Amino acid sequence: MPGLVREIIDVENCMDGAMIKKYVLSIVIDEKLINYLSALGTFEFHQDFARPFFKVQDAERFEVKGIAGNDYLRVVIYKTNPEASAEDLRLFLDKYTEG
Amino acid sequence: MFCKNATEALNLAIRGFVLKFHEKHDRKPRLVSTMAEHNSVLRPLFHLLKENLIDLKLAPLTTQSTIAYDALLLLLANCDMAVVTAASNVTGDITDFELVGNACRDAGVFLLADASQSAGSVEIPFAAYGVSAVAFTGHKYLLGPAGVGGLVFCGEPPFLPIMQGGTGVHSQSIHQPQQIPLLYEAGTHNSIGIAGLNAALKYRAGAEFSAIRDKGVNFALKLARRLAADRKFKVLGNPQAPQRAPAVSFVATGWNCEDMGHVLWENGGIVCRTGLHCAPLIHKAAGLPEGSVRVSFSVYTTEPEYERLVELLGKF
Repeated sequence: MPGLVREIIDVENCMDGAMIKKYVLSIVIDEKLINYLSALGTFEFHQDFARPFFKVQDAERFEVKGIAGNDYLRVVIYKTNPEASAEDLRLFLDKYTEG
Repeated sequence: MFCKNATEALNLAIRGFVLKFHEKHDRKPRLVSTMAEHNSVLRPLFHLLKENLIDLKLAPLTTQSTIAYDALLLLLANCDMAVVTAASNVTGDITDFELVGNACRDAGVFLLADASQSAGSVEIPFAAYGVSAVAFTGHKYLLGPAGVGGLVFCGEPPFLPIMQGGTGVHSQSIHQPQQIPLLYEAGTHNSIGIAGLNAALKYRAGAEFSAIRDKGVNFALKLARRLAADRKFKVLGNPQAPQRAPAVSFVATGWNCEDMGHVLWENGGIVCRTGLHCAPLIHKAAGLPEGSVRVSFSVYTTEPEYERLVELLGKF
């Protein structure tokens, strides 16, 4: 069965040194997936918006954010071991099971 | 003369002035600018500084991110060329060109105005204020297409051309024609862009446009005052200014600007710019290394669109 992450796309940013990636998923982000992601670190969930925004920060590795109902995550990878951190997140997401 | 954008016009005026100055003097020209400038001014200036062709001083900003005029006037008293934005692309604040222009005229300083943000949105009588040259772009509030801009100047321009090439006339000569604008306009023009800008200017002169011409500026004035009254927001620049270019930049407590932009787009279809807006020093001076959220209004912005923005901002 294919993993949750369908594609990882590099995103341009106006700041030097910031590595930003778009993780395109094979499913739409719902509350269950948001709860799963919240285990990664400090979690914020802004449900006042019609399309709620969430953000979870792992102080060492990355910041993951997205909008409920979208099929992608926007990820800021921190400077220390960026490739390993990006891969850690992909593995974490691919372990997610629906239903 | 026509250029492909304001950046090219600014480069032509700044570098051309410096080259001409070196031809006539045995010292480097002293240039003055401000920390409110866009990279289209900062980068040419710092490149010339790196090349050791100029001395450069930048006027600081106030705690409100407006130009510190006292400091700027002191610097203008002892310089050869000043390059100053007519309206900040970050704050929308309009520079007091009556003050700056008179100071430059009194001191014999060549004053170049960057009118990228003001042309088409705010009327500034540059010639009356003694401004020597004005760089503009066609694709912003003048409503022209991208890829056309220019440099307007009074009298004999004191700068050398920075490019040579074909002009379509005087082709027997291997030297650049000395007539203006041919001296500065080498190569094929963006004729389609120039025609588009001409059409936009004709449209702007008509009755249909005069009914909407102030809409963008009025929305910006209203939003800046509204956000300044809400302690959750910090507005860059002077939110109480009686006039402004139609852009407002701000930050909100507890939010980073990129996330705000993301939420505004996803929840309201509102496109805004987040980050440094190519103006790093104004953000550095404001203590905002990650930048701000900038909302820009146009003459076509509608009241429901403005209300949608205000409603969403109320949720941050």
